[in-house]
Amino acid sequence: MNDSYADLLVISRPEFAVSLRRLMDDLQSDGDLPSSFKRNPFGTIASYFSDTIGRVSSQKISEANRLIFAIFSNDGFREWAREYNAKVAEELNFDAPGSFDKAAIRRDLAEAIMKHGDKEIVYSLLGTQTRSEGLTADDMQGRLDSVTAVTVAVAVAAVVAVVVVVALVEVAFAPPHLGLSEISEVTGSEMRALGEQLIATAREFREADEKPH
Amino acid sequence: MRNPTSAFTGIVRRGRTLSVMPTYQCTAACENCGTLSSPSEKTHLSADQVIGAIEEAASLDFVNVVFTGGEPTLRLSIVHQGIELAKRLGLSTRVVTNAHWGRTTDSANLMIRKLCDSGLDEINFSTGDQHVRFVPIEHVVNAILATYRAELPFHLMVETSSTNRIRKDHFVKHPMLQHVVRKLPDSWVFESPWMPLDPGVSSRYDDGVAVDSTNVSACTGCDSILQTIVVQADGRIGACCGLGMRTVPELQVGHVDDPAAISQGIRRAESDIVKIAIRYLGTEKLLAWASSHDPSIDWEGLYAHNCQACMRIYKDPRVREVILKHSEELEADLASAAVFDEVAWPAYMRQTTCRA
Repeated sequence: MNDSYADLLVISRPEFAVSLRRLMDDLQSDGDLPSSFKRNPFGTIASYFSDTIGRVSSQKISEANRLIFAIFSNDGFREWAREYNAKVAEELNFDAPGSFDKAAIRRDLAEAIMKHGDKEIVYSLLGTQTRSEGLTADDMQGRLDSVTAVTVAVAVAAVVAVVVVVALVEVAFAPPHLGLSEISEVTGSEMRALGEQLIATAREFREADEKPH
Repeated sequence: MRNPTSAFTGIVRRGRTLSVMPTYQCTAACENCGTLSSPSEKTHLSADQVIGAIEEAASLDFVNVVFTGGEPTLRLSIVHQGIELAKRLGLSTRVVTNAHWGRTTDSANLMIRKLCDSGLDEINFSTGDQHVRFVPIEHVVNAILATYRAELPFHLMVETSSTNRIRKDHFVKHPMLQHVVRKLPDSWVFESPWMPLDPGVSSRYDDGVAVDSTNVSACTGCDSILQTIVVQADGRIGACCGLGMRTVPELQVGHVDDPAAISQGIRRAESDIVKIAIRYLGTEKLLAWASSHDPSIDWEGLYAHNCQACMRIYKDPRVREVILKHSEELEADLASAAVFDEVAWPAYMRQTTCRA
């Protein structure tokens, strides 16, 4: 039962605020984020809200938040993405969408995700039905392939999605069309909105791909 | 009214802003003024109230003080005192004004010199179709020139809709401002959608400006609520500096004469799930979510300003009912969003900057 001031739209939950402040204080206590948080951010967050009986559980986190946390909390994937971004930036030509090796990018992404253990990224981008499957790199690439198969436009979108993903982890290399000029100007809220746009774009192209041709 | 000295941390971890409205009075009476200001409004703060608020804000590690209103220069002595105190306490300062005092070059230079002598760090001008009914463009141009000569950082906000006559180009192409434009391109002038205070009334905007399902994913949370704490001219403490905040009882979180008014106001505000949702989800996405529960809640294409979407949240009984009934399902995402914005993203930024 929520407490609310009579006739006012105020939902007073001081215990939620206390738990959130305590969580933030603990995460900031050492300067760098704890490795336990990086490994399992949503489990960590949920553990601070155990008194609210499952309201804040990791299963209730949105796709966009999962994506953004998966990217930023995975040191290995971020390091790979930084190096890969330089390689993709050299090879990718936005003016000639057919000039890049889509299959190679999908394979590289699949291998990186399997190697660095972060399936959340592809689950978020591809919307797989279940998170509990034991996916191999071939399965992962197959999922990527199945989404980006048919049209050039869809393939471009998939590759743009990959580039945006790697750009998100190294904003200094962000493509100009993202409008991100200085890393210091980008807020967390804006990064989350980018993540939501990425999910929305990926969803549109999945739906386009699933339509009969 | 003296401020507490103990350490204070809230959910919002970036430096907060104290916004002070020395008066609701203004030389203009714009239709749909976001603070309901006009020449007939006489409500004002005392110097003691302003000083007390700034002192408490400094003890709570706020980073800056903004003097707005109404027209703050109508209470110039209090503004000067406030700027000088804020500077002594290490807070940066900004004044938001309609530039009515720019009638002549001399009057503009005098005002800017006085403000700079007090220690002002930045000045913002407001203009547009509504404002120019009371403050001619020439006054604004004089004020900009005086500010530019004094090398004081400045910005110009032009209220806009698709039918407005005054646009950003009026200033970027103004013959008297060309040397300013050559030096500063157009980073100092921006357009802001002018919004009706009534959420049931839609203004007309250029294509793509109003929010709908095609662009709502790009909307961010409200960066004012919980971060900018406002001491209004009647002494009430507001939880944001949004347009129309004065008319929303839920956004009033205390009074400047209360003990530890600002810290208590922050605690009260941060305990409210609705305000947390507005901050981290955003007003447009909150409306879209409410609509997913009650499709009779139309929202697409209605709002270009997040404050008008906020008015809708607080004033539409259908939206209120959905939020009261279903807010629990938002809590997981609100917690993760708050942690990302306030802790994880800044930590990543520090690492990236250090590595560079």
